[in-house]
Amino acid sequence: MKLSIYRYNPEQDTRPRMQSYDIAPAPTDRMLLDLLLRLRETDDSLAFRRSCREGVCGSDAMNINGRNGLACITALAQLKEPIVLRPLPGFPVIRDLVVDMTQFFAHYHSVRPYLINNEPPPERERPQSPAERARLDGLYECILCACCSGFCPPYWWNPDKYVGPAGLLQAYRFIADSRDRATRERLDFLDDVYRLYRCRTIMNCTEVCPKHLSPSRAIERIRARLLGEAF
Amino acid sequence: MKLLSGLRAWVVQRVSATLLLGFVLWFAVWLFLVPPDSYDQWRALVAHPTAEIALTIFFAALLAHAWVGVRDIVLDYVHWRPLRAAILLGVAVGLLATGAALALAALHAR
Repeated sequence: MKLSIYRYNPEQDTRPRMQSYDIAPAPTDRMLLDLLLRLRETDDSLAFRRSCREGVCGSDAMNINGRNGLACITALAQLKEPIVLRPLPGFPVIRDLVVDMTQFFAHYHSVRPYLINNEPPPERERPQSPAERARLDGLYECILCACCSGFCPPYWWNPDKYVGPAGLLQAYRFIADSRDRATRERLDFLDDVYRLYRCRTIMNCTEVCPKHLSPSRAIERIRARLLGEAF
Repeated sequence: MKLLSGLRAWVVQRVSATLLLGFVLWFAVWLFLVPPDSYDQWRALVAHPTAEIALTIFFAALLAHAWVGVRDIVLDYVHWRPLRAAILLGVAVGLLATGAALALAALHAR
């Protein structure tokens, strides 16, 4: 199979380049990550992240033929050749397909992605009704791979100020949680011309999410909650 | 609602877009049902109290919608603060001047 892979080592290269490869996959190579691991047997200078190999850790997010996705759950059979691999768009490149996620995780931490409840802790747990629990479906499954934020034009334009779809999905996950008591503070934090309202409802985030989640719907619900609180 | 909230601009954009759409549909239907075929008929159409109110709302919504839209584009693309402030000031002055010119034209037509 033919591949064209973005190569850039800031310690050696003055500018990025695309390198072509031609490699025969083994019969057991089903996913793109299998092929990349095989490729690295012959070129160990190629850098990319990977860990779980089953779409759970989110490490191997990259731009595959112009669309963000996880290499480990992208079937080789569905890819057109040459397979063009680039790092996540809009993220600073550390080397080859490895990007700097510092800003991404700073936004994630800014929304305080944990339960805030200062009421006295109950003896056992804080119970939820099945309906309250169901509200978290489609929110808690995010693996923070950054496919969504890396495919979001407003995030490219203002990566330092706009929280981005992944962070906003996580923000809504706790706004929607019946056990959380910091909804007002969370909404106040997000009611900002940059943090939330850079979203243009382009919906690339929902389109590329490898877990089939909908950050754009979460963003709309945050806006609806803000609207409801204002009037 | 905060003075500089994102929510305010977002609400203005949505409400003004709805008003603009409503006006365009209403005006299209009106033109279809009562098509004016002379300048005097156009003047009479615009001078009609319902049309006056509708046009006032339309232009107010148009100016508000334009302000939020252009402001969003500037916030996205212009990151150097002095240039951003200058562009926003220019846009605000331009829109206010347009509004003033529209108001003068309406008064003059009476």
